[in-house]
Parts: sequence; structure tokens; C-alpha cells
Amino acid sequence: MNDPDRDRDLMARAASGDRAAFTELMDRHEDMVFAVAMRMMRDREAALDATQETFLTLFRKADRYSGEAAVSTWLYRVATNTCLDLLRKHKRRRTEAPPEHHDEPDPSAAEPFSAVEVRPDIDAALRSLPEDFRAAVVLSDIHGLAIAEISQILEVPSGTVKSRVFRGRRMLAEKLGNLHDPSGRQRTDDA
Amino acid sequence: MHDHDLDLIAEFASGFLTGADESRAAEFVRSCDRCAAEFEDQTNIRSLLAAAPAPALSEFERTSLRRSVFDTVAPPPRARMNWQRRFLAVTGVAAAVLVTAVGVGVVGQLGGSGGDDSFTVADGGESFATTTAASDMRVPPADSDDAAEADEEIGALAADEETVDDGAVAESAASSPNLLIDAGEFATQDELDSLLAEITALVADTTDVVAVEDAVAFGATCAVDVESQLLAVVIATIDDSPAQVFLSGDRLEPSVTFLAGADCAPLSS
Repeated sequence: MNDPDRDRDLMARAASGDRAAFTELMDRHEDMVFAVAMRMMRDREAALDATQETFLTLFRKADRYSGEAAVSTWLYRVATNTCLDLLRKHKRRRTEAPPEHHDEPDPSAAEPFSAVEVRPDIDAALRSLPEDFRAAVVLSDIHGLAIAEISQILEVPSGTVKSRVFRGRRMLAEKLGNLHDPSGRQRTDDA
Repeated sequence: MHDHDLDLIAEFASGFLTGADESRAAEFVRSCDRCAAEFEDQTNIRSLLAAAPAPALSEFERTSLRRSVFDTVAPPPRARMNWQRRFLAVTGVAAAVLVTAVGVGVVGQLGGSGGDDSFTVADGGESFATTTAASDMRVPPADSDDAAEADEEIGALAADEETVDDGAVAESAASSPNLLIDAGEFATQDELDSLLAEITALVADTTDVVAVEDAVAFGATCAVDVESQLLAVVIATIDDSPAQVFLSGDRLEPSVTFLAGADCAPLSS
């Protein structure tokens, strides 16, 4: 699936209206787009909406793809921006509407865990991050993208990406609890 | 005591450092609890997220997603729906007779076809135009006069729709011993092929016609002559034009009357 030349060819065809090329692009990238959306959005339904919006944007703006970045990078950008836009719209609606009652998972109730064990509250902790930090962490640590590529996707300098990733991880560590302290070591300011 | 450069430690945990910076960070981690804790946090969170299983689309979600996307970029234009209703208005009763006579009647709507098809999408996805040229069939392009003629005819017949109870037509067909298939939207050649395979199976099961020789899709504004002995008809919209898929059995020759789009012709018999 990771074939940048094939992706570029498909994008060129898609830009000229080739429906089969669009379909193949969906085949190749919809899992990735959905995975990003699932990490970024508040629930599965919202993630599906974001995935749909991402591909609609792809269809409508394929002719604006310049070919400089990889198609996957372009799609990551569209997907991430789509998620951020939808989240901001949702936030605006929430501020205009009466607060809804819902039970957030309690991160403080987290048990110590192995670093390789997948914790059920990881998604809740991710969603508690500020959106810009969440995007950086998701792209870096879940999708394994390089800082330079994330910089292209988020359209911020590499230093900003690093800062968001590092601070995002710190916030997650706090949310998820006793990560660093299996031996009871205390944090001190002294070397 | 040193200044805790936590970003330096995070860079170290991320594998970004080399040379003297790497050595310096490693020394901090060895000698400073806070730096060690930062290293551990960064490393553990990184490992935790990397190990998280990727969320996956279910097949139902995948299918729904495709349909939603293609429905939005290629909504069935009103003319298509009108055309289908018009077809039912003109042929509904006779079609019921027809399907009773031949044993199978299939009515559906096709949103597109595969092959060398193409389409353009205007910003906002409200406008959609397609052209189709499958390799094994000739598709006479509808010229503007034909299109205008078709539009006029659709407009003239639109009044008839007011008197047509689509539900009654569907019920009429459904209550017959035959099958009414709502083919829905078909975005790909594979979907069309699946439908045709299904029709073929139906034909084989329910009539003494042993084979369906061909299925032909063509674009133009056409209507079936209901006096003909068509084995099965799929009302389809391919491109911007209503189209039909005819299935001709080995004993039955399709006979077609074209209400509009004079260039439209079956490509096999």
C-alpha cells in the first residue's frame, strides 16, 4: 500500500475525474484516515463522519494536490485538519448548549501497567489532551511519522511539533498515572 | 544540581540525539531522578502508543462509508429519479403483466458503472457529470438536442407522476410471484456484475431459459416497449442519463422503443 508513485498516479487520474482512481485511493488509505480520526475524535460515529469528510475533501480538491508532498502526507493533513475543524465546531456547539451529563473515565483510577500493555483508558487519556497536542502525539507515536513530516502536515515548525509531542506525552503520563515509578523512586530537583 | 532540560531528555528518549548531546542526556538520566523519571515517562508513553492496536473499520462501516461518499459526490439527480418514476408510470401495470408472463422482472436503479468511466465533481459536490465508455459496448454520446428533447419529455411526463402511486406500483410488482429488486446505487463495475450474476441466477432458477446471453448497459434516455418479451430489465442511471440493462434469453429477443435519445440502441440481441 505504501507506494508513493502509485499514489501520485492515482491522484493525477482522480484530479481529472477518474472515479476508479478515487476508489483505489480509498482502498489504499481509508484505514489510515479512520485510524487518525478514531484517535482524534470523541467517538466512533464522529470518527466515521471525519473519515467521510476527509474523502469528500479529497474528491473535491484532488486537482489542488501539487505533488510535492507524498499523497499520504497530504491525506494525513486533510484528515487531521478535518478532525480539528469538526472538534472546534463541536466545541462551539457545546458552549452554546446546556452542558450534558456524562461520565468521563477517571484517569486517577488507573492501575500501574506494563509499557507494552494496551490500557483501556488510553483513548480517554488521549482525548483529554488539547487538540493540537493530541494531533502531534497521534501522528508521532501512533502513526510513527517523522517530525519533519508532521511539521508538513500540521504546518508548524519542527520545534513546535517536538514541543507538542513531548508535552503531550507528559500530560498522558500524568493522566495515566504511575508510569515511571515502579520502584517508588521520587522525583527530586537535585541531580 | 543542574537545570533539568526535560526537552533534551525527551529528545534522548525519542532517539533524536547523537554525539555530545546524547552523552550529556544519558548522564543526566543516570544521575538525576527527575531526568530519569522524564526519560521513563517519555519512553513508556511512546511504547504504549506504538503498541496500541489500530482501530479498524467493520465491513458494514466500510460499505456505508463508500456509499455515503459516492452518494454525496454523485447524488442521484432529480431527473434520474423522475425517470425511474416515469418509467413505472408508463410501464408499471404492463410491467407486472410482463414479469408474470416471463417469470422474472427486475427493476432497479444504477448509480454508475465501471470500466473506463470518469466523472468530475464541482466544489461542494452538488454537481456531478460522468461519461462512460466500456470496452465492449458503444455508447452514443447524447448530443445537446437529444438531451433537450429528453428533458422536455421528462418535464411533460412529470405531471403524470402526480397520479402515480409508486408504492402501489412497487406493491403490484412485489405481490406478483416475481421479484422486484431495488438495486439502489451501484458505484462500481463489480457491483453491477454482482447484480447481473444475481439476475442470471434468478433467471436460471425461475424460467426455462437456461442462459442469459448478454447484459448490455447503455446510456441515453430510453424506455422499454412493454409489449416486448423482455426477460428482465434493470432501469439504471449510468452517467447523467437513465439507462437500462437488458438481459436477453436464448429464446427471447428484446424489443425496445425509445422515448427519447434516438441514438440509443441495444448493442446485442
